[in-house]
Amino acid sequence: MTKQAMYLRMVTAALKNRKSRVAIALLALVLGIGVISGLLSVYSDITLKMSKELRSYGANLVLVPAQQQEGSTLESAKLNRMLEQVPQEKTIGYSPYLYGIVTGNKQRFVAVGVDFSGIQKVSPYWSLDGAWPSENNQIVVGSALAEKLELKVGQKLNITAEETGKTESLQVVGMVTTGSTEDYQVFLELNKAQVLLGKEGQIHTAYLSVMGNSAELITLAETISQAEPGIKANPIQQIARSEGVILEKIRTLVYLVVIVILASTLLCVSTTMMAMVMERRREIGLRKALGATNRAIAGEFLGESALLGITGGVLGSLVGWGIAQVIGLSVFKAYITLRPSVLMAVIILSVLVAWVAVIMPVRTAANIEPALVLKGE
Amino acid sequence: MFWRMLKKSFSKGLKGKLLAVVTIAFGASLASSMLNISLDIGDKVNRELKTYGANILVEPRVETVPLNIGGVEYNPLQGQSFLEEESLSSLKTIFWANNILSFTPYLEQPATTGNQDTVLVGTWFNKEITTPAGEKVVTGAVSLKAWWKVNGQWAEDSSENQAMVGAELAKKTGIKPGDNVKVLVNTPSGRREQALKVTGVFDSGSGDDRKVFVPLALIQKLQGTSGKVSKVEVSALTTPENELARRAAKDPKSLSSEEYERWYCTAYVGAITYQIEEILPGVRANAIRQVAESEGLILGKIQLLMLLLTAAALLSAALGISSLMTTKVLERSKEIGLLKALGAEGWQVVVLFVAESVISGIIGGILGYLMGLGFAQVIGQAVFGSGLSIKIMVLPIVLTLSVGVALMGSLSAIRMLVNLRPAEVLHGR
Repeated sequence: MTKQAMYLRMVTAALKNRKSRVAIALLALVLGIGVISGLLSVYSDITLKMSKELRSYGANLVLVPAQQQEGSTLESAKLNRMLEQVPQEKTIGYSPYLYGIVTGNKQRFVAVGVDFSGIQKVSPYWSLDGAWPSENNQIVVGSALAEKLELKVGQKLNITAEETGKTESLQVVGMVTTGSTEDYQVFLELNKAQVLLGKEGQIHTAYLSVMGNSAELITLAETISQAEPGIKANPIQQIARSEGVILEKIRTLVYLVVIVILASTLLCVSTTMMAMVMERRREIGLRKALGATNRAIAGEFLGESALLGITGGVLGSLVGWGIAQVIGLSVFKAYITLRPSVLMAVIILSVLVAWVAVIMPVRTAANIEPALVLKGE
Repeated sequence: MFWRMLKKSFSKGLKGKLLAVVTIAFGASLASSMLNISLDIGDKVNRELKTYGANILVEPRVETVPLNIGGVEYNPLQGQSFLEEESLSSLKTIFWANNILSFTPYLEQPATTGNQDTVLVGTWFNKEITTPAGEKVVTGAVSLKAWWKVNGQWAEDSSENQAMVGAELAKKTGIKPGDNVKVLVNTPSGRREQALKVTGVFDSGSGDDRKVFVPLALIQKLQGTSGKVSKVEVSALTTPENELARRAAKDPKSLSSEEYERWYCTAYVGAITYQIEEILPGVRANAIRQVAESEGLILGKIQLLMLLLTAAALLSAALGISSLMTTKVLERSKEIGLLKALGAEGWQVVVLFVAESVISGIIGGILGYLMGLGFAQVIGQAVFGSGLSIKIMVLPIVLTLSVGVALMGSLSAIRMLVNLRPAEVLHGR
């Protein structure tokens, strides 16, 4: 039998013969590493997931005509061309806005032409009573205005544009509450608004909701402003800034928790390993009496714990993957991406933990006096 | 005899016990700090989210429909109704007064400087007001607009000509902090020039960057509207909305009296606006959904995340403790064998070990709770820059947890040992 084969045999036998002990250490390692790998996966994904959540705040980029005089407009064709500049996967949504003053039910109010499907993405905070329009002649009315006009969902509203004098008969299908100026406005499909207000192919502004931190937002705004000289992009940085702050805090918290759990796993594995060494004092004493060097004994323990560490790491990352998905699905309603880098890191970490845990016990083992132990303490 | 054995086991086997107690204390401290954090995180993150700006807008109830397009008012009749500046201090007397972090009034006046059109916004910067209860409160833009990056100094409320200029306007006109500028305003008594001393340039990252902020009294003097304000922004700590809050938002009268009580006494943004409308007659207090809704959503997510993190930490602490207890009991198989050989019944052995683990659990739990308080403070300082409030309810939870886990860990091992044959154990396998 070669030396290596003997070593291997001793290491596996040592683990096999102490099933309950090994099971405890392994369980501790698997769960500890599992929780850590789950948290690390969440940690590396959290920026992306959380900034998506933070987009619930609404638009963070406003496009306006570069020459801002009263009533100046943009061509919507130009806008569409420009939107191709913004990376698809970064865009949450956008909606053009065309304003005009109209009258209806003897009141003057503001009518806004929008893209309803875009609005729902840009402003998820709009609280809608009723339904979003599905046809061209359906509109959404601000709740405060609806109260003033004594309008109910399902009723008809005739509105006349002040500048063009054109009149349209429209059906109210929804009422919106935002607590802001929208409560006093009427929203209709952009094409309809352009005809009504006599501004075919034009818009006043466009609101975009894109992912990205403060710096990325500024860069994007500059790119847009340069690509289309007629358009100026204003980032709404207020939100981007606080997003950064909040994300940083959450990341620090997760980080701290990972460290604490690492310490508790280490402690747990280490006590179990210690108990294992104490139990085997006689065996160690015997081997030393037979001529085993301290190095050989330490080597065996390290081998044992490495085996434990690798098994724990592999099983732990499986458990961790499950934990990450539980967190991802319940908190963000989305799966967390599995990262090979996290997997590798976790398995290495697991072996390291097992090794560090065995340092103290190995010292004890090395100091065992064969004669004393074999005699019976 | 039982007590004597118990005492001996703690005095003689102190070293072995110490490890168990320390491990339990460590686990318990982890549990108690995480619980403390997750109970307090809502409040902390809520304060962080205040950078989103005010979440309640208070305006006078008006008959006309505002014609506001992109922040510019096209209705000449709009802005002619006012709130009394004096009445604002009563905002601090509503049921949820402590949740109102800050508020500030506004009064606007269009103006021109250089060749740029702008708006002068009269506001409080750092104003000390006295509530009807006689309490002194400092509030204003300095606390409400905490996220502004100010180059220079904040203006002072007592001065009549200090001003803060928005970054975008400052860039266009070349105004720098310390400059003296003249603005043209149309007042009821004709067009006049007003000299302003720029104390600071602010970057708010929003439309405010095109405006000039001045002390409220200056605008009141220019317009001849002394003691009046046109709107008030309020920043309040709120609870995320639930089904009850949504129903109440539609019509508070639809709630049963018990539900109404619960709604009124919870810091929903709807309950707070309702209370503001009660105390300031003739106003419309609106929850700014853009802010309120996002805050609620994010807060909910973070609380849930924290809860899961706490659960994970608890799991790992519990496992650590229970595996240690198992190890500790297994180590004493000889002692158990001897006890049995001397005629001890299985249950007597169990009682002894249970008592030992309960004592270890309690000592470790209390130590851990105290350590956990320290940890929570450290984490609170590191992450949020302020200590966490101490929640007494954490103590019983942590104690139950540490005793329960210690018991669980030792019981499984004891069960194994009770069934062992004394002869085998004593012989040494």
